[in-house]
Amino acid sequence: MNCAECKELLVAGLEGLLDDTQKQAVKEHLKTCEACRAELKGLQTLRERLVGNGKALAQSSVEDDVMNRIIREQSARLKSAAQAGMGLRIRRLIMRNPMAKIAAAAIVIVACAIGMMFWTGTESIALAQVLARVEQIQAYVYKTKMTTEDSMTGTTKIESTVFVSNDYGMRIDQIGTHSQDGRETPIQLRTYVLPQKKIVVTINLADKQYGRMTFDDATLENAQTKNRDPREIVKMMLGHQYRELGPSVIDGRKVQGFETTDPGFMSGAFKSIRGTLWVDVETWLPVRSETEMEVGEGIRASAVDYDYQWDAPIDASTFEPEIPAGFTADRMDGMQMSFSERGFIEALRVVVEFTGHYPKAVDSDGLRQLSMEIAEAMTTSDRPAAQQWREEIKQLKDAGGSKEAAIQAGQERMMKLMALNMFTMILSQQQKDPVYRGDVVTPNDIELPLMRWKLSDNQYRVIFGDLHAETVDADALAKLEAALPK
Amino acid sequence: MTETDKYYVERCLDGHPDDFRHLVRRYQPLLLAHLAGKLGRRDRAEEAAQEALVRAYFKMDKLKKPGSFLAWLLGIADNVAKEQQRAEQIRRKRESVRAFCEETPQPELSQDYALEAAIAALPEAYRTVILLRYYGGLSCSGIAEKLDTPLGTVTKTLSRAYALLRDSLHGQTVNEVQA
Repeated sequence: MNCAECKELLVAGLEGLLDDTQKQAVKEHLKTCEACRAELKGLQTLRERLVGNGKALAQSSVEDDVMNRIIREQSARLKSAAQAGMGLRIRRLIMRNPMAKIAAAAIVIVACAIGMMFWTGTESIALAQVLARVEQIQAYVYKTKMTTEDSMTGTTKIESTVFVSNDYGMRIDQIGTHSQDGRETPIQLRTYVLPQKKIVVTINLADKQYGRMTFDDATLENAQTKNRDPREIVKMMLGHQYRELGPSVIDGRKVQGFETTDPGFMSGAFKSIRGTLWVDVETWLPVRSETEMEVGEGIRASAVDYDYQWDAPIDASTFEPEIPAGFTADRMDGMQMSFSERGFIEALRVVVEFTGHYPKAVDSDGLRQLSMEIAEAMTTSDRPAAQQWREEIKQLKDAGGSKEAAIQAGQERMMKLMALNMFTMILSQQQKDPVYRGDVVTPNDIELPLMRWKLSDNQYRVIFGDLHAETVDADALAKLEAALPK
Repeated sequence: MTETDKYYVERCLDGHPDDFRHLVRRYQPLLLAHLAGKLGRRDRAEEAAQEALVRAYFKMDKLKKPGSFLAWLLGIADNVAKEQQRAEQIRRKRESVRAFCEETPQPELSQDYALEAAIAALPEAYRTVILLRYYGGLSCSGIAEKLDTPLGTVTKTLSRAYALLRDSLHGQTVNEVQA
């Protein structure tokens, strides 16, 4: 054995990994080689150092500290996770409930009318012709494909058939899926909006449930103007910018395109929006419309409306909701919706009761934040409303109700919040110039205007910080608004 | 203590936080050696080890292969060490002004800082074997099994690691003498 061979085996020797023959050979070599003996000594010293240091570090007791920290942080995290989970679940319920669906459907309807929005703010004779043409339409049917991607609640894909009739109202048949974390839930909804009967009926074919909600007259009046008079829609679109996309061909038909990315378009309800409309150059009726919008932080939606059948013969029975046997009423059944001044004030009252302040904004993103904030207040706040809410939940539990039932009990309160968004949207669609100042006005500001909108040229309706409402003239409003903190 | 890492990781994920204790016990010396080499001070290393273990516990669901717990833990520890070093730099800059008039207490050196620093400077393959053998309590055949390599490779790596460590430690001594 030479030195190189020996050195190669020394560490293995220290580790006791040599067989007898190897051991013997190394031993023989070491007897005669001083250099290798020195090498072995050096290795032994290092090994002792390593073993000693390893033992010393094993003495250190990180263990208890780590375990204590884990237990402490675990309970803190569980608490906040429970809160976050609650917020999430409540939001999911909002998203799942029929009214939210209707709101979403309404967005699609408005999106369909995008073309009409272009008709204004232009001298184009062609577009005026489109308006004139659509005004003659009594009933039509079209299809919509809509995708909503929400970073928190997952992706929803829905295909709808929409029936619109000037005489009866609107029916939306939706079929699709909601997917989150690899799980898919089928969606199958049929929604009837029946203005004459002052009712919205939702039949959830997937869950075998139905809900019938009524609307107060004020809301209905607004909704009627909003959904049924194309001239109102034209007015609301006044001033929005669009550009012509030029000629193209869709389904063998010659079309002309228009596009807008005006953020004020659709009442500024969305963070960003892009709408495209294709109109048949011969009939001057819309053929296809595409909308992409950023609804809020982390939520994107896109919709395509196509397959329009203008002046389609629609039978009255299409608008008669039939609730299949064995379906049960959902929690929203029998509720009255109020997207009017009254509903708006009620919603603000709920917010203040739980949070002590007004929401900073009442757009859809603001509403989303708000539902989270309230959900958190429901579980943690010391305010009487929150305590009362928890007491209510406790009673529900004691009476044998499930957790889910308890959360559903909060739904009605949450539903009220939708009025904040819907009422403001309706006002701005009607060009009533609503201005909401929850960012600076507090519940103590009896004389400051929290919200105002136009009634007529010289008349404004004002909701003050203490939630009383007055009608004032333009001069008085100017004075009130001058008092707002900068 | 005889169960695999995978077993304990899965127990923790199944909602038995107390089983994390076994993993802490198993890797505490190794983690400390790893960190002490980087941070140079016993108290800092302990602090960082604690932080790394706590983070690991709460991020456990992100661990893709429960069997590679150690490599993953060391990755977390590296991040913690980097953060600490950055914080330390900032603190030192702030204190450098004050230091003129105050006598700074000598930081407590860890058990064998020279050795730990030398280990920290080893290329990863060698460092892993040294850490597992002398701080992780594994035998050479245990390491071979854990790393899924032949025993011969482990002994060769270990032998090479010894040589590198001796060079490095010798270099340190020379530098100290020269300084």
